[in-house]
Amino acid sequence: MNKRHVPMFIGSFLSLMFTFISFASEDDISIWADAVTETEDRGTSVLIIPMSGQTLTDIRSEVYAEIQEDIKTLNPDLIVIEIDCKDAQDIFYQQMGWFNPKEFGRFEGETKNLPAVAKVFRTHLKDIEQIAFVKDSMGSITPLTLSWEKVYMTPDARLTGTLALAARYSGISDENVRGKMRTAWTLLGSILGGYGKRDPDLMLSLVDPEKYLSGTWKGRKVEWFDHLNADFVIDPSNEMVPGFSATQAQELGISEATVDTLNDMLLLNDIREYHIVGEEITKELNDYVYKWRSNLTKAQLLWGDYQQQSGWATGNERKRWLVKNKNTIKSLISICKNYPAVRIRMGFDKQLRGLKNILEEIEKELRKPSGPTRGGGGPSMGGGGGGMRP
Amino acid sequence: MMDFMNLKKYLLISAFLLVVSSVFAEPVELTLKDGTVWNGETGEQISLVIHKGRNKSTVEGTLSRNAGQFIVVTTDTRDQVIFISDIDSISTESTTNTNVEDVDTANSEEPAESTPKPTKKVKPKVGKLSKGVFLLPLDGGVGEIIRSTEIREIAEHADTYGPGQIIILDINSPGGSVLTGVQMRDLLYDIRKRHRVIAWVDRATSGGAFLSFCCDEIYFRRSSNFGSITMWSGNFQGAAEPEMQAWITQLESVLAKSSRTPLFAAPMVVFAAQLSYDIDEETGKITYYDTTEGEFILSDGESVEVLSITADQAEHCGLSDGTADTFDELAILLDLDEWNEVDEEGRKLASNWKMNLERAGIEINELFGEFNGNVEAQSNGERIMKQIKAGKKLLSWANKLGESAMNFGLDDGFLGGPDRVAAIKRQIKELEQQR
Repeated sequence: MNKRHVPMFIGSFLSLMFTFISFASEDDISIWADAVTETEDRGTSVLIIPMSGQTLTDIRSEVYAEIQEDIKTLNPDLIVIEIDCKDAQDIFYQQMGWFNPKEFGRFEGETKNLPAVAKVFRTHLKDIEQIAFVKDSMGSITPLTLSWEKVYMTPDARLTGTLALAARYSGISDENVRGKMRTAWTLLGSILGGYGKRDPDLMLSLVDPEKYLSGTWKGRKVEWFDHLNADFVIDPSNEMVPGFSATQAQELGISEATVDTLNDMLLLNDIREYHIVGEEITKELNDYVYKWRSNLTKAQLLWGDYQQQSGWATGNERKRWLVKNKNTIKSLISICKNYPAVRIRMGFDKQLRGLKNILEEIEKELRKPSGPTRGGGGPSMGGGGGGMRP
Repeated sequence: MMDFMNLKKYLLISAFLLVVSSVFAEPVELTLKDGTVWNGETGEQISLVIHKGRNKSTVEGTLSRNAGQFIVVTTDTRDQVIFISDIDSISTESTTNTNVEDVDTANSEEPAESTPKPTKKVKPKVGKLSKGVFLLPLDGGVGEIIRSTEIREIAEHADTYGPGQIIILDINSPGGSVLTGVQMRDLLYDIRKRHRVIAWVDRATSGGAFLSFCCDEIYFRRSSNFGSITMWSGNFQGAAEPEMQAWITQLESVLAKSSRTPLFAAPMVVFAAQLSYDIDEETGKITYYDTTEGEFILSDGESVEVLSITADQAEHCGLSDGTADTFDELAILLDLDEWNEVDEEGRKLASNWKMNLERAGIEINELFGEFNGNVEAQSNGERIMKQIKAGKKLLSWANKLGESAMNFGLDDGFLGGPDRVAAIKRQIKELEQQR
């Protein structure tokens, strides 16, 4: 190598070295991008609030109200509401009719449930930063989902409107009464959307099938309208409610971004280190769902037992099965009182009058003088005193 | 201003220093959270126990860098950043059979043991992935014989060997239940996150083809036939238009998930759809058209058959990743040195399931008969006893058959449907009352 080549060699060598270094630093960037780390106690304290399943049964305001003070005491830096509510496994399942209607989100007559949930988080806990991390938001839950300003969605998540509110008034023939009820019910959309500073036209279109929805870009934001004359039309039908995929929601500014994981979402919020707090609160919420659903299974069995035992309460066995049925109904009432969700799914009235009437009837039957030859049955079957067990 | 000669000297020294720093090890002293101090140097093979949040794990690799608050450990797959405060313990993996030092003994004043400790054999973990093959034969109707359970179990078995295993679904199926197929789609997508899932098809019609599309790669046998994924109901009626369109969309998304053209979907479902393609002579790149404008026409939209293709056609049009009739041929296509089947677990699963199905086919009908009172008995009590026994055996079968139980009239209320299992339990109670 002559002298002339030395600088060239060094130059090339250094350029190779710098190339290597610059690749290395790119690697470092990717390392850092992956480096949202869950730690023992460093970084942002994050409380996870699960909100999965069916509105009114799995998602009940009193369950969240009960933990409100615990959350205040805990005072996490961030609350992540993990929303996963689906009426069907995915859109294809929905199109094929593969779903269990009993598991659809519910409002029933209880308009106050979702606003009360929103009140817990968006009013009482408003001083704590909150993010909704949506794995699915189908139907009834959506107005509540949009009560959070910051919404992130997983790639497969959907955000769809609900026809459940319209079902409350669509059968009313008198136009005035119907109009009044329509306003009363669909107002729920704008009330909940108000917490998340959502456009009322967007919110109402999600709960009222008669509303249209179109939008016009205003910079990166969308201005929404209840007509079909804006730049793009989302809901051209007055019989359906719109739905958004994660990508659409992101593009239209309804969600902040589409993320795969909790870590991705935290990274987008400049959180590199975090630790989970309040695991007992998260567990309490999960336990509630497990418990009411276990009690639902138990209640279904008890109700089946009651019906079966009513048929057995004849002849010599009458009193035995009447007593058994009395205990069965008492257990059922007790479960329904402890878990309103069970009462709702079982289809019993709010005051449990039906069950109480059955109980009274059984007690009446048991008070009747018994005789060995008299037949009988359950309370609805009439019957006499029945015989004593040997 | 630095003159040219000085610049050369400076650059040379800088380059030298850079090279030196990358070649020679740097001493590293780490103070762990329990106060213990570990001394070592970059380039050393180390093993760490780290406690990150709720997870405790072990990392083995080369200590590449010490940045004060964290270190970088190069494992076989990547550079891993580990915060010092997450480290529970560090031990040095000696390559020269000398000592295995850890933080607890490093500062000990006790004399070192006189006998050298045996070298710890490093188990292959993340990164050192043996390319093992797990083969699961799937032979029969989807939902009828082919079900999710065996696929889930072979994946769980492969999991025990670490991520990155090759799971081969040896598919020979005339089709079957769309619902089961779609349930398997979700399962396969999940498995694909951690393993390479291969469809090796023989006959893959309808549901068999759908299942194949859900895999990462598809390989044909020379005799294979593949396609015809039309959805129809039990009385040979095609599904209604909205459902058929939804099915095409579903297929398109499944194809896209495996980077195949979604244009294969429609012609495999409805005969009116067209599909053709061109192959660039220089690059080999295939361009597909949903018209007949391509040089090679797969579906002209006029014939009365929906698209079904052979191994040659599949390879030519890029639908298949290759054709193999034997394990050795397949191994080459999979880029394996040799056919390396880890064990027979998949075959065992398939064979056990087949035996169970055969037994179920024989027993369950008889049990239903017995449960309904078709039993020989000397007395009413004996009859009831036999009925109860049959009922309990039916419940046991329902448990054993799992998702396939509904094919035998043992539905469990799935998707709000009838719950015949609950009805059997209720009937058993009734019989016990009569006893």
